[in-house]
Amino acid sequence: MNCTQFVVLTTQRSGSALLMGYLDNHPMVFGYSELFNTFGIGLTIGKRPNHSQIALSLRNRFPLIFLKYMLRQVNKPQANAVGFKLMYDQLDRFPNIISYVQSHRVSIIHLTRNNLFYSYVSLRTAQQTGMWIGLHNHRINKVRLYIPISDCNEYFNTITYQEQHYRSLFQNNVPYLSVSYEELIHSGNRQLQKIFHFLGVSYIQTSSSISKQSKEKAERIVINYQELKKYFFRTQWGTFFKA
Amino acid sequence: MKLKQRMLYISYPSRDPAVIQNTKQRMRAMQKAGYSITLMTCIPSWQEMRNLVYRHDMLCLRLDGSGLLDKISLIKFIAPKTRLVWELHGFREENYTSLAVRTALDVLWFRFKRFFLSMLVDKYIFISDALAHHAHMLLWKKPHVVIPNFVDNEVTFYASKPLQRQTIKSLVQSHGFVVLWGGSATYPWHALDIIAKVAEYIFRIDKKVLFLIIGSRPWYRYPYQPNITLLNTLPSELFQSVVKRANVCLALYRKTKLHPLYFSPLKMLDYMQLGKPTISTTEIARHMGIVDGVHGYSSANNAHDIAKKILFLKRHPKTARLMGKRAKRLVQTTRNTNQAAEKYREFLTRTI
Repeated sequence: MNCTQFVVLTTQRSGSALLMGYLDNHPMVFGYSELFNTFGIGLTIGKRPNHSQIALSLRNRFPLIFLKYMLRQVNKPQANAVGFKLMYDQLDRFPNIISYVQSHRVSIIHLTRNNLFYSYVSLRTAQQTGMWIGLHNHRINKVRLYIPISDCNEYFNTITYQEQHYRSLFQNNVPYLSVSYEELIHSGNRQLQKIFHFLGVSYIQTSSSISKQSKEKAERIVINYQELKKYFFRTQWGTFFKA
Repeated sequence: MKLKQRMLYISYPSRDPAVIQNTKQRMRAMQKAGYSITLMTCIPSWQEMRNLVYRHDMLCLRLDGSGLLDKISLIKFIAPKTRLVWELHGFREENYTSLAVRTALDVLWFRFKRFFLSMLVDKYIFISDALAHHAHMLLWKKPHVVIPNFVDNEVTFYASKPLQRQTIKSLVQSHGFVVLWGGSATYPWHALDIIAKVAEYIFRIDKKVLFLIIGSRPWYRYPYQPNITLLNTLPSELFQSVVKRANVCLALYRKTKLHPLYFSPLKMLDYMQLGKPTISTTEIARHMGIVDGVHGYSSANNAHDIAKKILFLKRHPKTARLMGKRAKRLVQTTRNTNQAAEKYREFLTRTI
């Protein structure tokens, strides 16, 4: 079977589970979750990763063999595209994947979130509640966060650097499509049309079982929002904070 | 004039504000005891360590369950004249609740290393009697003293007023009765599941009681409960303003199969110093010298019992205030820097 291989390259809390949910619901696309998650092997979108120690150590020791094997195990008979989610930090830990992607011309869907502050708030909320994926019927406890300026600054710098680094690495070498979380939320169908076309499958309307976890605004969740806003005002990150 | 003894005090690296604050408090107590202290909160290289040790008369290592700093004791082989003191805050087993094979091996290996390294140590300082008792068979026999955590009467933290107001406003409505639990929340001996049960029970009776749980990355995944708010770790000054707003504080911890409750909770000192009525686990209440019903309440971690006590304190604000006042007096008279400094002076000069 000669499937298009693809990777959704992103960072945590950028809507990758939502996008993968849409893709995996297409009959001709098969999507894994995070195959290279530190704590487990994410096989199914929206489900907890597999924590088998043996599988984990085999994956860590032979990442490329593991990847080739997994990309061959496609459970959909009609599948024309197979892919998985890959986070920047996972790519840092498994640099062999870069050469695999380049040599096999794996398609890259680079998913970014324009507002990194919201992404960081979402990350910290998930750490606090232990809920990493929002399903439609799930309710989470109320969360409030105090975010130190230094942590926020470090996050913005790290993610911006990683985004630029991996964009320059893949943009001109492999099939590459850039998608933003905001576009996916506001004009989902148009973006999905573009993505399915990129993967070489026909467009059909799909749905995702994943939903936004917290309905509360970041301004309410972060107790020192004004402090952060004042600090980042007139910096390149100032636009993340509402006027 | 007699020269001050120079001590190198190395603490394990931590971003927990409570640990940072406690390290500084202990350093101040040792300074009061007449020592000139150089504080390090990172793991130094051997080269750096050797140079530092030669410039000091004594080396004190603050050790916890991570065991990150234990190996520094090997410096005794390079500088045998250095007097080495361990200030023990915990053991590896506190990170686990049950003995799986991997856990057992990890704990055994840790114990073996610590036992071996303890031969090089001159003295131990423990933070509680329970910890000293627990360590009885796990360390080489050496002179020791118990110096529990204490409050610093001279230092007061103030958060900036607008930030304080904004924080409190965003956390609780003005009419809410706030029950607070604070800690790192990362370890299984933090009784977070019991608090969830208490919250659930109370919600059926009184919807105005709000539970504020402070701690980053809690080990327990809370089921949805409308009267629970989760808050990540706060800087000390902000934490204190939240404590000030709270009506009742909880200091609930759990014994596991692997260790007794050998901790000396820092948050409990904050609650008591700020005059808050506290409901604590029996062992912790005993450790703090709390008389049940006088300085606060103690409980055997029974959710119904704790819920009843919270509701009682809500209905009797005068009693709650009085308990808080007594607790404050208790902690300021029995757990202050001067007493700790005296213990440090007496122990370090007597035995070295």
